[in-house]
Amino acid sequence: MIGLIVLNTLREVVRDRLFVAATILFVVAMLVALAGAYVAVGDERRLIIDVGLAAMVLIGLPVSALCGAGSLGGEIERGTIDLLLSRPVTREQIVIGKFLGLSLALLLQGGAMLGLLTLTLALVSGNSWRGLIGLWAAGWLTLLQLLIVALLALFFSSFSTSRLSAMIAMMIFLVGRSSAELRQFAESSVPVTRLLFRALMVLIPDLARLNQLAAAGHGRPITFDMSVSATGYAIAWMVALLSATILVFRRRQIS
Amino acid sequence: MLIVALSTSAAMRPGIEWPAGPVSDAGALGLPAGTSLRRWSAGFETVLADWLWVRTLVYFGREAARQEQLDIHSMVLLPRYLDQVVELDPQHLSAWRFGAFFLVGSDPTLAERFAREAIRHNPDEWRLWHDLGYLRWRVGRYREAAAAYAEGARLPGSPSWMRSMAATLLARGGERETARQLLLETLAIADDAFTREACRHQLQQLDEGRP
Repeated sequence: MIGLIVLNTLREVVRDRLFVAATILFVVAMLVALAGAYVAVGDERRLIIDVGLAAMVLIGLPVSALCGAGSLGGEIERGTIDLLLSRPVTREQIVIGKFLGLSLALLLQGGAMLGLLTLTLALVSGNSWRGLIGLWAAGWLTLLQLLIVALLALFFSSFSTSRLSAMIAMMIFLVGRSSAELRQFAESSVPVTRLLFRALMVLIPDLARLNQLAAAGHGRPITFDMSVSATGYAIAWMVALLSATILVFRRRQIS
Repeated sequence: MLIVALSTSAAMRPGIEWPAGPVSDAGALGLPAGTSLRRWSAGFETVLADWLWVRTLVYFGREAARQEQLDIHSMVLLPRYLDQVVELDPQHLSAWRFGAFFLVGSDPTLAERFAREAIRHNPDEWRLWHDLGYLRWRVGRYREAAAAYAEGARLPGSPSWMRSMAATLLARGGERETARQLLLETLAIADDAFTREACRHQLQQLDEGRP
């Protein structure tokens, strides 16, 4: 049964107009990067990597937030969740199935974007294995950020409306990406604010830790240890968010 | 919670000082200073720097196309553009190198400061020592230029000609052959088309026997 939920969620997300539009937008972003590379001769490689990875995040962000919130929240709002609950399936299985379907869709889209980015790079400046590994590591960490956003949206949609959940997830993403600056800001503030910020930084995923855009662009090595530790951090957050979503959804009254 | 925390902090301590930009006010470009942009860029500072870098090159190219002879003095926005780029991305070597190469034509002190800042942010990059040496050579400070080359030659990965250039500058700083050698090496390691073009132009002037 869980397999069916995964497949259905994957199908729903892939058929979503937003998902298709995002893929087209990424192609446009790559064309813009190529135009920029034409002006900045000598910096083509860095420019294409920077724009490509940034586009992956900026385009993937609304997709993961809206699809994440819509996959569970949308079903609750439309009332179609009743149909699902009438089947021999537990609420835990619904949440896990939705998350796996969503993750598969986002990984497929991210993989396609990363593939197109690699192809563009190969056409413009050729590819070295060392550079490619750095790019793919940065791309993988970008995908993990999007999966966390999708899970945040899924979590909030288990007790709130899907639109609000998507908005909150996107706001948390922005705060999480600015964690270093916020920490610096907090340290230069009065004790009460400092305390508030410290608490906030515990409650919000440190997405800056998963952001290796600058390293990939400048060709700096992204070490295996660093990638593994960042992946572990992301998985820990995903497990925590998934558990919280299950907890909340299990207690939710659905009429 | 974030809004409340931010407003409380702003109200209770209005005098938080952000570090100022190194050279100029970026407001003339219609943008906040690079340091502020970096702070609120949510990790997208390198993309913003790339966008400003493309704008810098377009500005330079447009201005250069208007002039019969390249006059950096008239490109008043050039230092501001470059400042923005390097404040956003201090590892943006192309912008640092472009600034050191061209700003020496209008303001050697500013160019030297720019090159020194570049080295401070990228201490392992021998090419920046070459840029510092080159701009010192341009203004006739051969002994200091030689010191810069000698310093750069110590860095791992630096080519052997960095060491010999230091010796040449000490012995024959003002000679034409030294100029040719320096320009050829600069041409070989130039990042952008404008620097390459400027080097070729200067080499052609040397060949024609012009000062």
